[in-house]
This record gives sequence, C-alpha cells and structure tokens, in this order.
Amino acid sequence: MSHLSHVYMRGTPFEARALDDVSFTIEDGAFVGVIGHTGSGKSTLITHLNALLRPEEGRVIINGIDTAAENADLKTVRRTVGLVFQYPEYQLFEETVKRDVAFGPKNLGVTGDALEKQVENAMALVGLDPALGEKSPFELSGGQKRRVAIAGVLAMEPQVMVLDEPAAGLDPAGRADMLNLVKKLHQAGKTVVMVSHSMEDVGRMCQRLIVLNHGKIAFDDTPANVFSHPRELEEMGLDVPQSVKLAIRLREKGFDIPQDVTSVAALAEALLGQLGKAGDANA
Amino acid sequence: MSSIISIQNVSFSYEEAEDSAVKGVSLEVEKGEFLAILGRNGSGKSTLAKLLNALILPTDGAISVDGISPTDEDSRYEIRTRCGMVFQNPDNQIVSTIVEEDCAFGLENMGVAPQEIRRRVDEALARVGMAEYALSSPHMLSGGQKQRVAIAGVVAMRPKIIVFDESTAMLDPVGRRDVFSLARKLNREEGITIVWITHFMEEAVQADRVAVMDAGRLVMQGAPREVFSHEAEIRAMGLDVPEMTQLAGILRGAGVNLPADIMTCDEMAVELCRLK
Repeated sequence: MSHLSHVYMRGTPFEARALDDVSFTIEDGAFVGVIGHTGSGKSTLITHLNALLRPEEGRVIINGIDTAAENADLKTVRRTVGLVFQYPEYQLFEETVKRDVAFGPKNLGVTGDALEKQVENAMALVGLDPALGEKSPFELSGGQKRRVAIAGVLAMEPQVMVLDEPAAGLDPAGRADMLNLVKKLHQAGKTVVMVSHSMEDVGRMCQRLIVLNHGKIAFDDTPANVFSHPRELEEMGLDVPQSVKLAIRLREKGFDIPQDVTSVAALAEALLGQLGKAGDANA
Repeated sequence: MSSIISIQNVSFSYEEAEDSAVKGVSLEVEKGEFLAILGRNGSGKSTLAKLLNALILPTDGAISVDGISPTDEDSRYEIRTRCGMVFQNPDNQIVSTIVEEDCAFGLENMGVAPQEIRRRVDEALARVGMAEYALSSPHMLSGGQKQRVAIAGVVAMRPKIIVFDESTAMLDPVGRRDVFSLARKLNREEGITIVWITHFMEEAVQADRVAVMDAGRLVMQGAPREVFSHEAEIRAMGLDVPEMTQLAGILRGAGVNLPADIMTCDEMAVELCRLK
C-alpha cells in the first residue's frame, strides 16, 4: 500500500479525510495488529485491503494486483483477502449453518464436492461441530454464530485474513477462545491482520503493530517498540498494557526487565530470573 | 447503611426455557453503592438487571426497589422512573434524530411539563458533557458519545439508581473510560446508586463491591480485592482476573512471597521493590 488517502463525503460539509498518505507493506505469513482510536481510519484502511473501497489517491497492491486499475481482477483480490467485519454474526442470513458458510465460495463459482470440502474444512478450522451444519445459525450462541461468520470467510480459502475486532463484545472465556482461533489461523499459514482495541491482546499476539492516528500511520513497529512510547500513545487515546506499565516502573527502580516484554507471561519470566532468591528467602 | 434494592430468594424462568435464568438469588444493594456484577454470558446477569427495572417480574421470591414492590402496573412504572437502565448497544437506545429530543423522550412519556423538560434536558446534557451536541444528530456521534446521550436521557428522569448492562462492551478504550468515569461521577457527586454489569475486570476493580453470577446463581460477593484473590474459582467460571492479579498468581506459584490480593500496577511495584 503506498500513499493511500481516502476522503469521505467529498465536497459536502461532512468531508473527512479518513486516510492520509498511508504506506506500508505486509509480508506473506505476517501477524499484524492495527490499533487506533475510533475514527482513526482503521475501518477505512481494512476495507481497502480487499478492494471494497478502491484508492482515490495512492495505490493498493494485493498479490501484484493494483486495485485502483480499471481492469483490476477484483474477484481474485477478494478471494485472496478475507475480511471479517465487527460483529459479523449480524450478517448471517441463511437457513442452515452449512448454507451460510457455503455462500461465499458458491458466489466464487465453487460447486459440488469441492464446495462441500471447503465448507467442511472451514467449519473444522473454526472448531464448529459438523453436526451443527444442518442447524439454523440463529439457534446458536453468540460465540458460535461468530464462528459461523468467520467460517464463511475462510471457506473462500483466502491467503490473508483481516479481522476487525474479532473478540469485541464476548465474555472473557469467549474472548480467549476467539483469540486462540485467530492464533490458529496464523499457525495454519494465513497472513493475519487484526484490528483490536485491546493493547493486551495485540501485545501478546502480534509480531508487528500499525498504529493509526487521524488517518496517518503514527507507528509501524514491533509491539515492544510501539509501547516504548506510552506518552504519545496516551495522547492518541490509546494505552499500553498493564504489564508494560509495570515494566517501565520497575526499570526505573533498578530492575533489569528486557525491552521486548509486552505480556504478563514474559514479565513474569523476567521477574522470576531476578526475584527467585529474594522470594524464596522470604517464603 | 440501608438497602435501596432488596432481592430475596428471587428466581426467574423464561417461558420457553427449561432451566431458570436466575435461581434463588438474594442480594442487598446499599444506598449510594457502586456494585459491579460479573458473570459469563448466560450466567443470568442481564436477567437480574431486567428484574431490577421491573421489565420482567420474579417467577419466585420478592424484590423491592427503593421500597417499592412491582406488584401492579403503577408500581412497576414508579420503579422504572427511580431505577434507570442503560443497555449495551448504543444504537439500539437512540429513538430520535436530534440529541436533545432523544434525551427528552422519557420525560415526555412521563408527562413532565415542557419548561421543566427543557430545564432537565439542558442540565442532564451538561452533566454528561454533551451540551454542545444538543442539536446534533445522534448518528454523527461516536459510540461513547451515544452512550452518554443515553445516560443523559436516564439522568433527566432523576433516578436514584442506574443499572448499566454492559454499557461499555461495544466502545473503544476512550469511550469506555468516559462512560465508566461518568458513572463513577454520578455515583460520587450525586449519590446515585450504580449497578454496573461488565466483562471488564479493570472496571470491576474500581467498584465498592463485586457480585459474581454463575449458572443463574449468585456465587460470590465481596470487595473486589477479596473476590479476585480467588483466581482459580474466578477462572473456572469463565472469567478473568486483573492482569496484575494474574502476574501475582504466576509469581506466587513459583514461590515468590507476594500477597494474593494485588490488583493494581502501583501495588505490584511496591511489593516487588520490597522483595528486591
């Protein structure tokens, strides 16, 4: 993506520049977190990734296809990049789970055994019991419905999965399950782009963070490097994880905490290295 | 301290369901308290919230809100004016196309005189920090701002209690912080009793008291510090503990001598410096 800008409602009193000269490259197999407060341009950005929006200024190139080109093969772009919106369960509509999951690949022209297979694989990947296939998606729990919606995107066998806040609105157990699923997708070889409001989640899971602020890229770096700017993040209405906050405090007090600590588990490990003795002595 | 809400052995079953959504719950909410209710999806939290607002009536047991039992239409109506409710989805609560009209909706239904509505709406919008948006269209607002408008609509009815049913679940961190601190402000400065249903542990930590629901029952209640120190039980119910409590758990497990009830970064920093 190079020099992408996007203006909503151009020429009206509501004109708003949602993206302003955004450039980055995502490598095959990466796990990228996109963060930014509401209105920072996250949604506009990800809708460019599968050509639902096409660049007005700048270029978006997906697997070599320039989505702004007049004769661009958008079907291939959309097959390459699967987009899961926020609260995707609101978009379920078919009579059975299977038919809902099959809707995408069917539209791409997949039929017969191949279709059957793709639907089966997608359901297995998101952990849906095949027995649910003939049920109405509306009889399922919230977390299961969301899995059906994600399976519907996976069934098109995209190389890249873009998920907009996949864990939003779920309870803690549901969140953990959903995030494990996202991790699994990455392990299964998908390139993953995850929009999130949870610094804890992206700090723990992603290899790289893109931070958007007022439509511009504020940071594009490893979580550890991004979180080393707590003041700037706060000014953008963002935060750093509690574990990073504590690590900063402890370094000031003379603890030796590596810079790349961005999760509770990593912090615990770093602390145990130097606390072991003191703790034992007191125990 | 006196109770403003009294729930005695209350059960509730939805018509089509085999199992009760709420089972034999007894709970007193003190006047002026900030009570957080935790529990996984389906634990009965929202059903309990609807019972407090007399949107549904107990199948069994007794409930009283500010001294009123929901025995007939009039008393239920009275309960709803004293106990306001803010829901999860900001978009489902907006009924009008102009912020101040939306905010006046409840008062109009109550038959309050126009000048009085004007006064209360202006005051309520000012209190939630949305006065400058009085003439805006709600759909141009952020989720957090919409929730503040919804709260203004409730505040304008001058309730003694406000029940928030996961009102921050769909908001971004800034919106979440805004709405939560607004609830705290209404609690501290106006003495409004708050029942705060949430999945966010960092919010529950700041409540006066936490009640935990599981499978329709009230299974734990106490000061946040007390409740979160039972990490294993909390996790077994599909809930989380605050990150610092988690860290304390791992370190304690490895033999580090730390208190079990650490909840914040400050507390953890102090304890670790003591050990170093």
